[in-house]
Amino acid sequence: MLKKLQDLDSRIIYLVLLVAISLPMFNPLGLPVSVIEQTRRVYDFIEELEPGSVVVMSMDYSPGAAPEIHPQAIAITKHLFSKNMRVMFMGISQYASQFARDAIKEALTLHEAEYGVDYVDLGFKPGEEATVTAMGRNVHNTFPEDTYGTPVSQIPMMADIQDANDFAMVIAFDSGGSRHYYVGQINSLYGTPIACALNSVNVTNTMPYYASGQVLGILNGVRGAAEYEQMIGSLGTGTTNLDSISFGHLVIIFFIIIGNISYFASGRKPSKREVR
Amino acid sequence: MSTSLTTWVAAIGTLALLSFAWRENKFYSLFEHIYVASGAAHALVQGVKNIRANAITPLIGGQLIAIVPIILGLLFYTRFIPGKAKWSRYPIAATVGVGLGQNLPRLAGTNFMSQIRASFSIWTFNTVLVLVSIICVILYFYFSASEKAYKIIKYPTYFGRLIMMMAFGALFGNTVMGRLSLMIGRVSFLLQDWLGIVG
Repeated sequence: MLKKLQDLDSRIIYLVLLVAISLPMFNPLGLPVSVIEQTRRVYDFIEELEPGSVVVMSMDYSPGAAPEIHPQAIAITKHLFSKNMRVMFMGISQYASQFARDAIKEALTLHEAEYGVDYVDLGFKPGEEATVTAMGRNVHNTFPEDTYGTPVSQIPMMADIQDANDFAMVIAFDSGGSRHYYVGQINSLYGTPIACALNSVNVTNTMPYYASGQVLGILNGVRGAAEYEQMIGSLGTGTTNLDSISFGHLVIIFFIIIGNISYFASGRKPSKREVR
Repeated sequence: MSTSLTTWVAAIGTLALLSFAWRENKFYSLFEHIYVASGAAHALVQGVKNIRANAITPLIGGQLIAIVPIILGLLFYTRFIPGKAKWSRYPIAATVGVGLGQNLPRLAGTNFMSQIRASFSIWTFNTVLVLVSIICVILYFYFSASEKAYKIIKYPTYFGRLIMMMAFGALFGNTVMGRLSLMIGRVSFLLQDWLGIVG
């Protein structure tokens, strides 16, 4: 029996996992979500900002990471629009505008905001860290036009936004490395607060920034999105997917336990090299 | 069920790529090639747009300085001209120089000095634990201890190893959550957007 478990076909595990994550989609359980400190600090910071403050949303994620990060972007856009912030969308990822447009569309179903007055989409600019550095120094030179080709000098919202000193905060929606650029080139040089909205795999290596105060808060994947949706009182994809994640995790934990029991029960002793 | 052609293409592509979990098959291979080709085509178009927006258009608009990156960019292609390959070293040197100039101050300030300063700034249990952990992990990678010294640092290095195991565990846990989220995204797309059988 235990031998059979050790040789379990991985496709059976995939199948069980597929069923486990699909079931809550048919019948959502609404399992409770506790809001952790690193998410709450992003929410609290935005709550304390004055209406009209400039918040930069740097949409630096790829479609592969979108299921984790895009729900966060939608939730935060809704929050910013509800607080009448001036939101500047931009990105060093080529998909920045597509994601920005979608997040804005979702947020506009709940809140009113006018293009050029309450928000602007500066689009994608190649150059990675050099672009972030240049934007910190001079926004108008780095982004002479918005994503629709309108000169930035003709956009009312941009009239008094010159450099990073004018940003109340920057939120890096990041699946690559832009958070490092923002911490290094914007937070270190101008003291602008940085928040990170990340896919889960990038959270661990960003925690040192959070512990040192270089990053004010971090949203962690779908869980972070679900927490934020709960705080703003507008449930979305993050919340509906969290039941599936919880079920999936239970299945994975179950198989890890079964795998270890069958391993130790099979009598195989680890070698001295493995112990050392 | 969706009537949108793009949703159908995305759904068939998703099923094709997921079929690899069962076994490698022709359906998977076909969409693997389509995926690579469309990715390459997208990158090419984006590259041309970038050159046009950031070099050609400013140059035509009178910004003569844009000629510098254009020339440097063209020099990369001298690698394909026999006898002229040495010219490609100049744009490489410029790229390395800019990269280093950009990165070194950031890495030294942000990832090194700020982290050290933060480790010593506030004396709470957490910061003391972080500080002890840093020292123990560094000791783990100190390979030149004499036999006598090793006896002293044996337990701190063991603690350093445990700390690293915990960090790897946290990383793995987050990775599992991330990968699961991606799978949920696809399953949700199939059940909701394509088949329309969940709300």
